[in-house]
Amino acid sequence: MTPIIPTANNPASATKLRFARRFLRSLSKMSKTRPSCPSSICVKKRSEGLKMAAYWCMARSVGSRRAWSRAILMKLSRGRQQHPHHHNFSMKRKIRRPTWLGKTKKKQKKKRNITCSSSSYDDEDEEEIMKRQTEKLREVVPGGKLMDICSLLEETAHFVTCLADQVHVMQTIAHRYS
Amino acid sequence: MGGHENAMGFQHGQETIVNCTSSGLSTNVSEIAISSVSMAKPHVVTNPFLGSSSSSTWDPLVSLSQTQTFGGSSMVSPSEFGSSSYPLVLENQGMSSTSHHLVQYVSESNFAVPSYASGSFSEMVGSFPQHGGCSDLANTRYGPSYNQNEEAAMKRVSLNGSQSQPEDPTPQEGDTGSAPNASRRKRGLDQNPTFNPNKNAEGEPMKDSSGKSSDGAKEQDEKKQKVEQNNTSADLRGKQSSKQVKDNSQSGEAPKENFIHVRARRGQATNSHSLAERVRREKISERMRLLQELVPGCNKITGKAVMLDEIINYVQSLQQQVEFLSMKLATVNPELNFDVERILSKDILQSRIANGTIGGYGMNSSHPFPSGSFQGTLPGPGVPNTSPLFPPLPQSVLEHEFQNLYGMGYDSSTALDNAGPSGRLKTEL
Repeated sequence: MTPIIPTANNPASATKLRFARRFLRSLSKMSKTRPSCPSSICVKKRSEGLKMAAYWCMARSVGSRRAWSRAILMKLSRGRQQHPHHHNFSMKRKIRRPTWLGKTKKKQKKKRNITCSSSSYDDEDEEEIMKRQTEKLREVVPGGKLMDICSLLEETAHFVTCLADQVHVMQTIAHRYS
Repeated sequence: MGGHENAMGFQHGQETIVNCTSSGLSTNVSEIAISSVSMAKPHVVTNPFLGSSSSSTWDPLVSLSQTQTFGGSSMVSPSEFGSSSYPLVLENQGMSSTSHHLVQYVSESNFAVPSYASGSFSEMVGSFPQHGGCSDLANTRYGPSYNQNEEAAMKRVSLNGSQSQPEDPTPQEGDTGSAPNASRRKRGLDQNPTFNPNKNAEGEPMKDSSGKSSDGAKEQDEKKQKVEQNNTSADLRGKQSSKQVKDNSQSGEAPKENFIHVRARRGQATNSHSLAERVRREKISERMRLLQELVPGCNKITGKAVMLDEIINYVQSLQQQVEFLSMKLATVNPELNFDVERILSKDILQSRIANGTIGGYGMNSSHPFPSGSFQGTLPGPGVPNTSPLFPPLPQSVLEHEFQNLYGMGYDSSTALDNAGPSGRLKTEL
């Protein structure tokens, strides 16, 4: 099997542990402040809030070292300023709608189709394909619209590592509680 | 021939340097100057040190530059050494035609040593550790003056090869302290291969030219040795530069041959642009290689377009996984958090579930263990909600895997649903 990222690199990176601790803390906070109701709407809200919390915890763990973490923190802090209820993550999402947190599926479909069709054409200019893909990448990676391609790729690499760590931690937690 | 051109170039350079210094040592200016000039140099300069035929032509240039530099140095006052980034720019540009600044810089750096602890000079000196005193100076000059390097230094930073390598392993330009920047600026050749192969290429020729002009024979020897040392590590760059040199020598006339290393910098604008582009492309390809290692299953993929596609798909899949997991966690009641934290940290350390997590993207879920983890990760009550998310999932590699995941997990998730959240907790505990 291909080596997984955590095992390939340092399996217990400091960022990962920091994120794990922060996330657990916010998890317990959320569960205490908002009693879990079985209704689907409540679950949806909670899951959205949890998602925001996860990204925020990861960004905080990374700190200001990376452009993407700074972008996340800025976006979330802006949302918090508008809505002082810190646990109301779903509201923040509606206000700001950061593209990297979840585009609509239709959008994704469209973009993917475009990419596929363009790649099938040999005569299509490579540059155009690259431009489209870099545009996509910019939308996916937080803070990517302000960077040139070089730094965008760099940020993407770090973002991918942190995302993988985040997913791993969340899976561990979910596995624990399942 | 080349010497005359160099002389003229240096004279022009002096003027420009004076103008630049008067306008203020702005990093932007230096950036632009460096980027435009440095591009051509790096590949070419390494050649003479590599012992190619062009080296013979390069030496007279060096001597010429030296004379010019010394002449130009008088024009620069030590007070101009305010920003470290600017000297960097000058230094990098050095010998080549367009890099007037380099000549000036070399002279400036000389001033800097006694008066101002500019990183640029220290870098220069540092790059030649074999020659005693200079290296000491270089080490001492790694002061806070380098914090201003910013962007301008960045490009040059890559140039500094050997010494900066241990200091700045990560491609964080500008984040590192002054020392790595300084060392990187001058080294050029021995730069981190992963970080800035292109930058190193740029820096090499400039470094070489500037070094020689600055301190004369001593630095020349240092640079040569440095270049030779760097050459071993900068094979790729050397090849590129040699190729370029050969092309230049073949296409150019006699005076152009002298400029093999420097020619790209000053000669034709198109050349410098193409060189800059090449450096940029190398940078991008380097980063793409990094990403290729990160994204599972992308070892065989060649080509930027497909690679980018895979990267985008992978990032989106990770984000969707986060969404699924958050939905799953939303349904769970975390009762024992504090103890679990410790246990979780252990799990995280062992990365037990890691195989299932990201393996879900790239593997066929043939393992029994990952399948178990998949079952765990799929949200129970959230399955009907999340199911619509599955179909639009990426087409290429991801789709297949996620279909497996979905198919696998759905049965188990229904079973879990029957058990209920409390049941899950009980089984877990």
